[in-house]
Amino acid sequence: MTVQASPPAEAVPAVEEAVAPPPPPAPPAPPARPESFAAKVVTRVFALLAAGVLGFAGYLVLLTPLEQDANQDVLYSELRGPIAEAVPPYAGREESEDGIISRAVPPIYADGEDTLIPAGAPIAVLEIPAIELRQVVVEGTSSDDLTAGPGHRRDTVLPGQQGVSLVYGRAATFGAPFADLPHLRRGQAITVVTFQGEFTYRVEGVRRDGDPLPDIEPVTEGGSRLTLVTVEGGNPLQPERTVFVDALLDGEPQPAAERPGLIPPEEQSLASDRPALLPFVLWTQALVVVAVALAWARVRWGRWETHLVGVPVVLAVLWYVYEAAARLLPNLA
Amino acid sequence: MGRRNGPARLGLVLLLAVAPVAGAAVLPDAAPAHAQADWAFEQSKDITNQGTGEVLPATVRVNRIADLFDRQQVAIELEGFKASHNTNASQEVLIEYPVVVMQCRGTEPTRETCLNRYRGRWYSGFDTAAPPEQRAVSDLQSRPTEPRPYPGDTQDEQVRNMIRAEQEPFVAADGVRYLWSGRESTEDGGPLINTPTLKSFAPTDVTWTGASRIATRSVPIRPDGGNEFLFELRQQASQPSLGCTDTVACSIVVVPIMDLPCVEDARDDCSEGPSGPEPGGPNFTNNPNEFVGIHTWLAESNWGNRFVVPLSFAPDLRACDVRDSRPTIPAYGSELIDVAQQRWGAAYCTGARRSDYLPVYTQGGEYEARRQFTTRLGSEYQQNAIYTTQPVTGSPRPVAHAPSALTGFAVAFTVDGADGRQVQRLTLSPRLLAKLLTQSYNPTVIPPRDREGRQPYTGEQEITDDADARAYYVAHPYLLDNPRGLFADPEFAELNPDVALTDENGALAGHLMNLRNPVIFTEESDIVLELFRYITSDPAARAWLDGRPDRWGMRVNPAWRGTAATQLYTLLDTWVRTPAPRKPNWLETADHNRYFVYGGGDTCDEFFATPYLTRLANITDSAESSATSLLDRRGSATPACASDSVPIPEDEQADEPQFPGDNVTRDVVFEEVENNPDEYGQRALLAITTVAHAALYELPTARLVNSAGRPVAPTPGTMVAALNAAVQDPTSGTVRVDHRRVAGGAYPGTMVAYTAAPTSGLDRTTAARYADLIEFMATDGQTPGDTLADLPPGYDPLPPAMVRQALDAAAAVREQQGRVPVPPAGGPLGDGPPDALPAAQEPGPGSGVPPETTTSPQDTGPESAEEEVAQVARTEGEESWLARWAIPLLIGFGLLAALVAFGTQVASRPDHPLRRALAGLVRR
Repeated sequence: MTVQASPPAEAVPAVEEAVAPPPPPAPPAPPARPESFAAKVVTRVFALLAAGVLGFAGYLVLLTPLEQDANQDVLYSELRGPIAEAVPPYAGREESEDGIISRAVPPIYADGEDTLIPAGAPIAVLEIPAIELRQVVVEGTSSDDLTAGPGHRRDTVLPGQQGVSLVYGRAATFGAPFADLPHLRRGQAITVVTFQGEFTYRVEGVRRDGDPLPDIEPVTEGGSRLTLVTVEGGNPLQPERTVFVDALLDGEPQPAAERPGLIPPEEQSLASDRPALLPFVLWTQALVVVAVALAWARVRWGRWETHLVGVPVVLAVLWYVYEAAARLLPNLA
Repeated sequence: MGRRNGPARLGLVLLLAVAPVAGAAVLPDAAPAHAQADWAFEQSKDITNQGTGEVLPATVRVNRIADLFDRQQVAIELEGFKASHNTNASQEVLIEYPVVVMQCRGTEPTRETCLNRYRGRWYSGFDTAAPPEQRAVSDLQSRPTEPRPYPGDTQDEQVRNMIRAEQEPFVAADGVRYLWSGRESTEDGGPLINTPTLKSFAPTDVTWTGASRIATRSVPIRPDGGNEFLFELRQQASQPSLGCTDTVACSIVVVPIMDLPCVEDARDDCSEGPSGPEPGGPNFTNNPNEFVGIHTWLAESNWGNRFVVPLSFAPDLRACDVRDSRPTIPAYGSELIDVAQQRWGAAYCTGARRSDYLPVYTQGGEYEARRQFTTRLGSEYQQNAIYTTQPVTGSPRPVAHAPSALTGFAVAFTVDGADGRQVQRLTLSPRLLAKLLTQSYNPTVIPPRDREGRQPYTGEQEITDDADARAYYVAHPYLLDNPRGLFADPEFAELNPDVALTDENGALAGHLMNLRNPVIFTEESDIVLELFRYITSDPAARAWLDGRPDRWGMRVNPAWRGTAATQLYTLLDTWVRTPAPRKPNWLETADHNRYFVYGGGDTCDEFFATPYLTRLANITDSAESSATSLLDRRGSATPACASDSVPIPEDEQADEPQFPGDNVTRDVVFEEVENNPDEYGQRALLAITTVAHAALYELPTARLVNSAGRPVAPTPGTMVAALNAAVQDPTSGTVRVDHRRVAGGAYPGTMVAYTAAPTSGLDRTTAARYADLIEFMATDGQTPGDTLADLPPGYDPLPPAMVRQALDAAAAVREQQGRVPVPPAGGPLGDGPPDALPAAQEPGPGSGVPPETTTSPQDTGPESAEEEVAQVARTEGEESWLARWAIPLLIGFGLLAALVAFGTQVASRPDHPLRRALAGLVRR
């Protein structure tokens, strides 16, 4: 057999093949630097911190009004019945001219127990039509009490009784019921409804630090004065100074009832609720525990399962942390 | 939230975060204007005499209205008012057209909160402008024949309704209304109305005379329309019914009384005008027209012309916060340091002086203090620190004496001259003081010419009718030839030539004629001892005390003859005034008649047999009450005898009357009582007290003659000068003044108060606190000034050598090693006088001296610049940094954290889209 001579070099190349030619190898990529662990931690930590702090700020500004609103509804439903029944005066004794002492305990407190009104209990409904305010007033003026609504200072007489009655209210957070108080003008009406009846006060004026005190005479002559206290400042989120609104009762007051002579420091004006430090610390610890548990769960379970379980838990604990922290802020803010 | 809104929301949040920061440039508060006038309050306005139509431009000026303390006196000047009539009357309430000055509660007081005992609406109801409740009363008054027809079944009921209608109530600080009526129930003698809110009587802090317990004045106005006087202001502590404190505002109300526009059917004298003479002559009437007197301050026509001066009181220096939980450092002793301790104590209390302890001072005599310091009670000593002037001796523990205050005893006085104006300057010599203190002035009233032909009555002679009685007199057997009182003493006149003692007829002014003993306290005290040392060191006084008569023949009371210096003032004279004999019907007459024997005693002398000079003595229990007795315008002397009728219990009643007119149900009881307080213009009282107390209550102090014969008042600097004559005890380092060497401008009454504390036996902490207190008192506390931690007026600052002595003693107390400090070698003035003395005070406040001609009536310290405008009780607001910055800071911090997180992420991922974008920008 004869071998044919190989074709010469100018022979046409082979038939085109169906497989695409392999792409040329890419130039070597620069070595990918893994994101350093420290940077990751720092980022995470600060992101969480930012979220937590901004969340607290958002809670204070946006969510506390809702909470206070809900509290008001509950308190109002508690208060309606006894007021409608016109339950006789409570929290102390009355001595008439003949020396007869009469004492009555309202039905919402333990029967037969001679107690003063416990802090947090609703005592009155405060209405100021001029600023469209209608709030249930609770007893006590600590930061905690004032999260539910305006609070009556415990060492003063109840609104409607002879003497001077002080009511504190917030002006920035938790619904800021008293935010518009400084806009009140002389002669406008304030109505307070308590167990002892309905009382109409007329605004005497708004005063601030350095202004003369109102005349004590109408009070010593058997009248009643209501002073509403709150704070004001450059803008709604930055209250700073206390401001007072005085109002004098139109008509005859009820006799003054007994009340504590001394109140704890956290119920003073612009005081933080020091006892709230404990729950704050405890809930923060709970938050840490939850975070650690979630980190562990992330490893063991998986991303979405952890999120499903973890997010509600974290949010709930965070809410309590926020609530306790809010109590640490000054009570009038 | 879409991506569009994202940046907008972010921008809003950023804006909220940034804007407050940017806008937080705090506007500076407008600085309060400080008025630099001499008068703190001045108001001029036209007052209209509603009865005549005349308009007067009146002005009221007050020298001090802020930071007032209890019983402080302020100078008030009136100008342009209507001239008063009947100004020679013996009592202020008889003056016609006076100006009524009262202290009231509230910044806009009503009649109901003004303290004034004249509250009847009758006179004021005749005013045409009278309010209905006043008019109702005067309408009833106008019916001439009927008794006032008030309803009521019993007489008591009628009277109750009457006083309810007729009296303007006074509302006390606790809200109780007082009708201030003197009437009592006829049934049981008790008050007519006594309910918790309404009472018929006066508030309990006001006596029946009303005058001594309230400071209300009815001031006469001179023909030129003006007058200047001092007015006392009271806080809650001394006038609880007003209840003025640093938080309860009060005011002075000035009501000029002028003619009333009378209604047509008014009584005649309503429009008659004054019945007393115009000022100028000696005449006066005791029956002035009450329509133009103090009674009509309630009338609308007068009340409408009132001036209201707002006041603000300093916090009560005596009240420390009972909740102050700091440990207390008690110290007991000398009244010399009382005034300073009240002030320094307040500085500790209010935090003006920061410390971890609270010093508590108790007033007491120095002898008792030294006893308690050296006596053990169980395992503890009764006192661990005392204030004393003499050194502690016989102490089981080693003691350090640290100088703490330089002051002295003083003779304060409120004396009105014969012209009715307050005397500002009085000079006393040791012998004059001896005469005053040894009960040597003649207390009996019979003038020498009336003794002719009369015999002394011993109580044994029989007297049966008035003629017999006239032949006798009763007088102190040994004092009969002595002058009747200080102002009748020629030695006094010689030393005080410029004091107006006599009236235009040359006779001694009436109010200066009676014997007035100086007010002195009976307590074993270094102050009394030093006073007597001053007296007995003077040769003339010593000789007089031993029995030698003075140039005019006055002799010492034999009971006091030869007396030596003593630390306890006791009354040695025992003469009882023989009572005049009773008339036969003595029991039956209401006023228990006696025959008239000149100078004879009264029923109290008969029943109680109190020595007469004891009855006339003015005794208190402390130097402070001596000083306030001058403010009360009377001492504790009981020259009068009063009787009262008290019910006898049924089982003790006699069955039948013992004599005609005997009431078996009631018994008559006698009591020695004080006189009414002196009227202004008729005061003549001296008191032994301390220089500091006199300065506190603005009482003038007498100039005492020192051993060089020169009279010196205790003005600033004179007490330091007296240290030149000091004798130092070599063991303890305490000094006392050698009265034989006090010369030049040195005040002879100078005394130094030392703090004595043990230098071993105390635990470290207590010792450190006492040492700290001693150091404070000797350094910061010695700066004269007006703030709480400064040295009050009445004290001279300690000279440097004494300051070092005090610091040395404090160090010894702190070490507790038993060291007794060595006294300074050069004596108390070894290093020279102190740097800063307080500014010279005008001797005594001006009762008739307006500020234009002399220095300001009040104490002008080196920084008198802090005069503030009239202040009322002010709101104290609060500020909270946290409230202001909480939310913005949260937002800011949150954003910052987010930024950091984001930034870290960007920095750590080079292929981050942001980095690529930035890189792209740069490359281009």
